[in-house]
Amino acid sequence: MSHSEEVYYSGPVGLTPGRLGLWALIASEIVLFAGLLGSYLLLKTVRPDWVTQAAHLNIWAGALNSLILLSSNFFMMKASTAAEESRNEDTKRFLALTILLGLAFLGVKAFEYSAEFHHGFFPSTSSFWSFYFLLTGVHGLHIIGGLVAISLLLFKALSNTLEPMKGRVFLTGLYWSFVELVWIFLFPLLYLMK
Amino acid sequence: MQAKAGSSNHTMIYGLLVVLAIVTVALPFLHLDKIAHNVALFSVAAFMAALVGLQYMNLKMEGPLVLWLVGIPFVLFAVLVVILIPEFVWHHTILTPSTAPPTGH
Repeated sequence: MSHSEEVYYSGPVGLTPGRLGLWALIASEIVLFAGLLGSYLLLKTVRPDWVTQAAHLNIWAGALNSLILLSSNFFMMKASTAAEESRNEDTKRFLALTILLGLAFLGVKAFEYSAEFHHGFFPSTSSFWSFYFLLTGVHGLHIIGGLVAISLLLFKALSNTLEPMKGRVFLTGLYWSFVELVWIFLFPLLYLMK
Repeated sequence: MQAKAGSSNHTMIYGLLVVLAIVTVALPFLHLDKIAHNVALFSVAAFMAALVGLQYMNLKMEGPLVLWLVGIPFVLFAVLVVILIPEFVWHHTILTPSTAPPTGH
């Protein structure tokens, strides 16, 4: 590893069991989301009417959620760096911001769902809406799982017991980045693709 | 020194990701044809995903074990889609109900 690479490397040096386990989890998540996204793509090639159904989605809410999740992950990365350098106050602040933005993402999604239900779009309405609610719902569950993990870390940081397990902030950041990565594909696929 | 370098790197990547997210939202307003639009959309998404994977998830620092672990599902997904899309389209556009082979009964 060169000196310039060391400067930008914020994770643990060796392949720890925790990191290997998390990458195995992410690999299985890739299989899950790739299967769902692949099925959606295949069906979309033969269902041109899905474009008109997707036009009912609120692009601005989706775009806002993209910015919210990008910002949330940015603060998670800052929290990871702060935890690694034992800057406890910064870690607390960045973890709290990550959680707040994660909750904001879920709030915007709940607003979107309620508007869609109000207009009569349910998972049973058509195959497009089935896919939309399935994909965003599974992604939302991953957001909730991540928020639970980050909240536990914040609780540890607030009680000043995070130091022995600060590597877990990096691991949770890895998971949170994956959740963001999934949204990077979900947003254009569902809201913008022709 | 290291903290500043890592932090400014994260900030730079974040700024780039926000710009690319705005580009993604702006694409429909360019009124490109369907193929150009979709190719542009997924090119931007792939670039954003690469930034997150390499910079935030530190994939550029990982060894071959992790790269294989993450790479194999991606390759299988690509193979699945590339093989199945022509088959799927052919069945739904060429083999219309009137020309499809009888299924018996």
